[in-house]
Amino acid sequence: MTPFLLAFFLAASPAELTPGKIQTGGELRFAVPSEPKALHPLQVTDESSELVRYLISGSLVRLNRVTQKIEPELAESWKVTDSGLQITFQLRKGLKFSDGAPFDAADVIFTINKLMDKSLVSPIAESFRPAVGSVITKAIGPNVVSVRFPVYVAGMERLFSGLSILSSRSPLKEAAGLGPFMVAESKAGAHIRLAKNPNYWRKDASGRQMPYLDAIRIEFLKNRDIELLRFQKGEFDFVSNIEPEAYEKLKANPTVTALDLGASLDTQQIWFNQTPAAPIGAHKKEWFTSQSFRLAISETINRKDMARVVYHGYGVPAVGPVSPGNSFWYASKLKPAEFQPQAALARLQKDGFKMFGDQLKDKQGNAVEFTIVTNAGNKVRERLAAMIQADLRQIGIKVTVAAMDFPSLIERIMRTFNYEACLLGLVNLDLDPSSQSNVWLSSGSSHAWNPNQKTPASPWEAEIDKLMRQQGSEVDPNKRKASFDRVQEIAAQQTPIIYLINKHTLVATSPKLKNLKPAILSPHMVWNIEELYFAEGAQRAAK
Amino acid sequence: MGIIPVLSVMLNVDYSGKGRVLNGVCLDLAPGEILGLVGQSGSGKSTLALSILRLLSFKGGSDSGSILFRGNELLGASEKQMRKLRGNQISLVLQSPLASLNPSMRIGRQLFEAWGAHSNENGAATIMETLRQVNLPTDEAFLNRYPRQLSVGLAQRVLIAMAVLHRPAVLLADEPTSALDALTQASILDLFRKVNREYGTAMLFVSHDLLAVASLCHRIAILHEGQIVETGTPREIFETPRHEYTRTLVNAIPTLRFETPERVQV
Amino acid sequence: MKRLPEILLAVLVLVMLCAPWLAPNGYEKQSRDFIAVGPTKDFLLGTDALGRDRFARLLFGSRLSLLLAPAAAAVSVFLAAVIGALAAFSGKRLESAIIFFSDVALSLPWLFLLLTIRGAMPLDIRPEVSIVITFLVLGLLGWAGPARIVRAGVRLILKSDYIFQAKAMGIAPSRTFFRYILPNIKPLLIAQFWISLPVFILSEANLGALGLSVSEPMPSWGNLLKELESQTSALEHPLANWQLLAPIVLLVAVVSLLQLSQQRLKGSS
Ligand SMILES: Nc1ncnc2c1ncn2[C@@H]1O[C@H](COP(=O)(O)OP(=O)(O)OP(=O)(O)O)[C@@H](O)[C@H]1O
Ligand SMILES: [Mg+2]
Repeated sequence: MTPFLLAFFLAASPAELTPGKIQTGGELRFAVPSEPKALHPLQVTDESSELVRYLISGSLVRLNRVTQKIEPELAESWKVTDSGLQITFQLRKGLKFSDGAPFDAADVIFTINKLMDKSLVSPIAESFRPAVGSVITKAIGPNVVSVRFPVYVAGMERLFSGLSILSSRSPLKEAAGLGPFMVAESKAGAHIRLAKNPNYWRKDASGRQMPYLDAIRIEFLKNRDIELLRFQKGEFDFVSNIEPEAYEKLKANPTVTALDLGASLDTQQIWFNQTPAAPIGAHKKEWFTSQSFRLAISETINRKDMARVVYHGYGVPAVGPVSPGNSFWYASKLKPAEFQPQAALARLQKDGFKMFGDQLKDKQGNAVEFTIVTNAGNKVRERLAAMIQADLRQIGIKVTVAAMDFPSLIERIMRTFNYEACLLGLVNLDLDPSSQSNVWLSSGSSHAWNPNQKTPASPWEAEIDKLMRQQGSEVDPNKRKASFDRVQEIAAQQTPIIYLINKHTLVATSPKLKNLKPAILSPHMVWNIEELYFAEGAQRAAK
Repeated sequence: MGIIPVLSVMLNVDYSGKGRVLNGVCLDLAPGEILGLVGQSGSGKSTLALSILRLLSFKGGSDSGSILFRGNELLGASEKQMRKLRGNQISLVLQSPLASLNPSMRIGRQLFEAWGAHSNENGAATIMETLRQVNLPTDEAFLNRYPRQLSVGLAQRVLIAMAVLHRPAVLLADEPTSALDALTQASILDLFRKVNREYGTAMLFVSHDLLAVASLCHRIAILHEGQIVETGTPREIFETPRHEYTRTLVNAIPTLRFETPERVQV
Repeated sequence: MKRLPEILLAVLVLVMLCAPWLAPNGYEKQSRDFIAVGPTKDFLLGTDALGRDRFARLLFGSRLSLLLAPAAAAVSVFLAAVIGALAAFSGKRLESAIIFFSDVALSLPWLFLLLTIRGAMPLDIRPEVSIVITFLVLGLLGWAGPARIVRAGVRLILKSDYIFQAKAMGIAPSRTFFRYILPNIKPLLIAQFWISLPVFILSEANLGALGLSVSEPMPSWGNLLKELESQTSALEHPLANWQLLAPIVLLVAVVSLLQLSQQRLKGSS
């Protein structure tokens, strides 16, 4: 176990969070930055909708956000067969939708067939519509369903953790759900209220009906300062994804519990443009395609300072595409690039670079300077860029930072390739590296440094291609991991992307809220919503 | 008359949107003669003066007829030829002296500008001489003044000095004394007499002040409804006015002089 | 002391010019062991989120704004003089064309335009160049308003007796323009210059607050104000964190001094 995970467990189970005597009732309140765009569980494209979907619907399996393992939910068990092409679910018996409609295999078939409708545009629908062939769903008995994919899907069961099962029979159609809550009231621009689902299937060990809470009220509030203020006044029960500065303030407030959950899956990174067609100087292309140049830059960036200065200590130097927060896929062998500007300079000098006064020049005498593009208005990224600027100045490299609006940035890095280096962050939602195929395959459209290649531009990119295909067709998770570990290793050696920082996930909660199992994966605080309850006498009456 | 006129005018003038303002106005100005042009406000006196200098187009007027200056037809002259004439052979003095001077230029500078418009020679001697003629100081301090530092009377003298700098054959004076108090008015009238005497400048002296005109001019022309209704010596105009309008004008002056204001009829 | 505003402004400019000596830390040095500290002997106004000396950044930033805003104002007033006078002089067609374009310029979404211009500029532009361009663009965009005033002013002058008198004296048109018209719109131009000065200072500040001004790490009032926006602590404890408010105080002071001296100019003319 890595030190980061250790820290995570220590932080996640302080005394206030451990269950005492369970109390039922009360209304949980919190805020989301924007209003859900869709309440249809199969049409979810935004974060707020995803959260509501999670709370009001049931899926065959669930990802335990703390153990990061798939657990039974509507299906009590499942089996993957035919070298990973088919999965068979054994459904729980006697379950009812929120309106009383019965649940069985027909509903699962109905739901998956519904996803085949091309007019449904959502990530979940797309993941069930492979490019060739189609998904075939069959009922083997009233409570047994098999789903067959035309091509192998690595880690197939995790697909089902995000799939809300709809009722094939209920007159309420998609409004009938199998989740712990159901929509009670929705006020545009203000809030949405969920009431507990009396037909929810889950009972606790002592046979008590779950969920314990009566209701949830989710307010739409864009201003995070106001959210924090109202949280501290007790109007909200928790806040998640807090900025370091705000977190430090909350930590000083004795009436709330501030928690550092450790490294999140998100990364900040910088890469050089290696696209052959890029409209930039030939000498610059030569630098950017040189491994030792990229390594030297990576070694001159002081990641520890970044974590300390920009993240107030709530960040860790990144080693690669997988954060230490990802317990299974993290390549624990890898170390973050060493901060050693002098060694980096020596490395460059071996390649013919020379210092002239305080200016580094390449062997043709070109001054070493480049521009980092990034999106405007992101304070964290602007600061990271300014630190890179100052760090590289020490070995005579002049960096200009150009912050621009997001569409212009995308235009440059995806279409015109008119940029030299780019600083961006990546929000990872999926633990499985399959979701990063598009980044690592040289033919991928997100192969940031040189996308959409017909044939791999370098031997190491060819090797990554091979490894990515291997891990994508392998059934044994450990063999998959071995392949992807190797990808990460090559990525670390070649540094096509210079990973900088994994920021910590910072949350805070009211001490009255019990049974919380906060996680770096969303929905951080409410993924085990059915178990949450308020301490005795602390229940807020549901209006 | 046997003398050849220096200026001989026969004019029709229209303003856009206003129609005919001067309708067949005929005037002859003999060399060295002071001709008074009298008429009530709006009768077209200024229009006539501007037309002679061919400046009417800047005010949106158009003219037809004939303007003979020393036997040359001005109506067909180019702007370039006219520019050579203006301020040089025919010059103009306007009614409001202070407004007619460039507020951001020293007096001396303005005199030199007026000189330089028509001569490349050093004009200092002429300027000084002219200043003395119009009874103005010639010292540095005076020449360094700005127009706002002058009284109206001084300003009018400066303008007259500029107008006669090049010893023009004709001086057009458009109500040059209207803005002045009685004493200053008298001294300026004296000045015109002196300029006429010293330089032999012919003058068209525009005014609605019949008395002032009578004391200065050799001849008086009465302008009424766009036409010259009567021309004659002051004596003829005052003693044997022939036109009805002239009679009204003449009667309006002396009798009113000693009446009390309450009984003034307009 | 009637000239107090001007004297104070002059002192400010002088202090700004001495920035390299008054603030030897420089505006870009990151003292990473002193992040966001309060005022100390070494950092008179404390440091920012990257450990850069706030006092140095304020001085250097003010230097840019105080030197370049007048330059931008001069550019726009010069353009306004040429275009406005041209409009007043020229024939009906050209005049209405100029009026049309100044209307368009006045109603342009200049922010959008600036975005486009900045987008079209090469990326590897130096911070020094970016600031010059920022102010130049401001100056180029600022001509329309003053141009209309100049046009009105020139027309008034053209109608005046002294221009007519000059014509009647046979003075050549070019001489009329340079000797009789230009000197008489000078007070107007000077007034426009003083009026647009604080406008440009504030525009730059606004642009900076939107991240469209001078590029990092070079400070300008705009960038410094933008930083303030994320400094909620300054608003929560204005007295405890007074140093954070220094850029605003200085901006308000300079703009008010400019207003004061401008009012005095107006009053005296
Ligand atoms: N620019 C112009 N456009 C149109 N009409 C004009 C213009 N200037 C003068 N007029 C008209 O032409 C007529 C003659 O005007 P003018 O100025 O020549 O009269 P005036 O005898 O000099 O009067 P005053 O004694 O008031 O100076 C007036 O009715 C006046 O309204
Ligand atoms: Mg008149």
